[in-house]
Amino acid sequence: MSILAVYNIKGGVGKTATSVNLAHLSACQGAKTLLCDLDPQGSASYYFRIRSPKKYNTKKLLKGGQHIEKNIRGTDYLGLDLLPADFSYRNIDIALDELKKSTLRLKSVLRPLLGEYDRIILDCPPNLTLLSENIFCAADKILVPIIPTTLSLLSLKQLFKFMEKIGQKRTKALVMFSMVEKRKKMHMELMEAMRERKGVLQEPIPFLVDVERMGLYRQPVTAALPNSRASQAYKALWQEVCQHLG
Amino acid sequence: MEQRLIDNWYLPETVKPALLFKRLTRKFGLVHEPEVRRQITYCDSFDWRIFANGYLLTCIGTAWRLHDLHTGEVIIQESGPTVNKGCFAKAFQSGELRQLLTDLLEMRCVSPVASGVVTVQECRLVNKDEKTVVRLFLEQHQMADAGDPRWAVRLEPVRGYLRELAAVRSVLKKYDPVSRPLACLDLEQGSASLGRTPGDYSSKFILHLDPDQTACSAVGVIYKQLLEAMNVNIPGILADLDSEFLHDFRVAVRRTRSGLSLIKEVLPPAVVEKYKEDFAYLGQVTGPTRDLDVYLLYEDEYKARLPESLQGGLHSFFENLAALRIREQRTLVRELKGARVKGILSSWATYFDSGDEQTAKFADVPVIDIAKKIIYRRYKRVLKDGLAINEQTPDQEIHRLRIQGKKLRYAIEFFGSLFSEQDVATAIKRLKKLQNYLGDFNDLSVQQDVLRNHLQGVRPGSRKNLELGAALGALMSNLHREQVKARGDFASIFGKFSSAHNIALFEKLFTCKKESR
Repeated sequence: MSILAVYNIKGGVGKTATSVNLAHLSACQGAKTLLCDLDPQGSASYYFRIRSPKKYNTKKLLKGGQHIEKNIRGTDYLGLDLLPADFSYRNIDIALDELKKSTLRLKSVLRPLLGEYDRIILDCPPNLTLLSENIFCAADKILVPIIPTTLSLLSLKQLFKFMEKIGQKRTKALVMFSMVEKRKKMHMELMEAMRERKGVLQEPIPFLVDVERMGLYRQPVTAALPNSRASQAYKALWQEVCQHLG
Repeated sequence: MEQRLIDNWYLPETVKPALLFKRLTRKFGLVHEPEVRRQITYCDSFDWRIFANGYLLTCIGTAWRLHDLHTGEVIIQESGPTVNKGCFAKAFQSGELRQLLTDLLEMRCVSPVASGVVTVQECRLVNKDEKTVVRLFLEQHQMADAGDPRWAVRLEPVRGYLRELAAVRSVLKKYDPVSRPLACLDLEQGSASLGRTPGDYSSKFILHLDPDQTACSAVGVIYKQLLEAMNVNIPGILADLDSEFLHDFRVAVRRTRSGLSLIKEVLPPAVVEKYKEDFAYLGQVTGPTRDLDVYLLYEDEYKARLPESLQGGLHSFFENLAALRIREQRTLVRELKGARVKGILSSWATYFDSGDEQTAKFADVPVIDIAKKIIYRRYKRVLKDGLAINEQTPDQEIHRLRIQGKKLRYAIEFFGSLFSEQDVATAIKRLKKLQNYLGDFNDLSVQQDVLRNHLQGVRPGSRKNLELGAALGALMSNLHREQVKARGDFASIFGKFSSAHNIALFEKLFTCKKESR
């Protein structure tokens, strides 16, 4: 039983694709899995063709309990459910700020769900705010997809600094390479240099058209094209993540 | 929390699946998954132990599933052996299923009791986003040799899409709901084609007699039921599925013999004499195989009685017994298929069907009078013999008491239905406690005798025989110690049986008014 957050300060690094595919693989393994779409854009919900329930919003999320349970939706895949995002999540920081123990709120609403689910995966929005702090407190591990570029490294440094500031251990973070392009020399060099470090996963997710096309066929690539290169890469990554989740 | 709704309906013959699908397309998109066709076998022991405990055991290839009998839900799913005429719990890999089967089946094996083909077509009902909102399963169950297939529709909800589920339900509500799991119906239908009904056999002896019935007709009912028990077990003995077929057969033979000697002057003496001899013969030909079965069943217990270092020595002992059993089983099969056994069983059956002109002294007496007399006489005998036993009495007397106890038990079982059910149950329960003790005590000394005999046949010299000798010796001393301890318990066990309130119970139940005065 664990909570895995997929998080990065930067946008467009493949967070949603990673969380959607890993959640699907987790359910395929037989673990009852809940994917929480925390990004107001609702991309993960979109991939699963699930619309935000009409009466669902940030308030309900932060109240937790029944308010969340009522709004969880079954996906097309056995053992995989989704808590859809709502557009009101864009103001989640304001709502959090008004609450007591504001950094622990997400943890307190998610933990009870581990009674029903073996694994919870959080698809997080890109920023560095109160919500991020909540996510770091709630999650057992934080999977950080990065594109191997210099700017990504910079944001990674900022992330570690932030974690230190809020009193979270660096070991909670698992760095993975996303959208890797073999033909780019810098990608390969940076990756080689990074791989030596602790908490950096070895299995990269290459930049592949099949992953980008998930928006067209609206399914996890691991379900739509189970034998594709993209699926293989996600499977290898998931195995590695599982070792760290214990 | 997730809502678990089991929605099942029969699809009438007149409604083609295509029609149902057409009706649903008004509200949903339909995505058909490939059809899955499976040969399914339902298994149970001959005495329906799985069924009687509220389970169903199915097997598809080597995939075994244990279902709840009442909901059809799969409780355990594990891979196991390929199904054949008899599978013991031992044949399964260690796991939850094996453990459960070991507890339920004991020495019995499971055999196929029904088989058929189940075809499942999954259809996903999707909304305008092409998101699955309800899963619909169209199932066709066709049991072997069992007439028309059965069609059914099952819905599986998708969490959070209750409105859509309600819409599908409203389409299906005009069909008959399935009240019991299809698997359960399959079992009934499939086993019927093999001439069986779930729960139709139990080794328990259950009779219903009427107190006003004449003694002659009552014993007819008793003997016919015992004969039936012999006949149904013969195929299993011949096929050598498990040891219980022979055991149940022998119990029925023993009960018949007991009946013939206990119930006097109800059947003509000549008939009684003839069949006493005939059934003694049946007991005699089935004896050797059963004795060996008993020892082979002791294997694990014997090993547990010995330290690990000596257990290896028993290996050749049991190997020997197993080889001997193969030979005895062959002889037994020859006998059972032979003219004499067939003749005995068929002439016994015709004797009751044809009716006898000769009558005996008590043939037309109401059965209740005879019953009380017989049971009470047996009871007094047990009491008298038991009370005569003290610490110095030889063990032989305890064995005699065991035989007397058995006779009493059979007498109560023959006529138990004539008396208050609860009182009889209590009386049997108390007698059983004594019998269990006597049985165990007897087993301990018989086992020592057998081991001693075996030991005498072992020639010294080889390492293997040395180990065997050591193991048998250790086993004998272990059994002896237990027997000595058990001997000391006799007084307290029999004391309970002969307690005042126990005597009162038996007297109340079985004395005739005349005698009680």
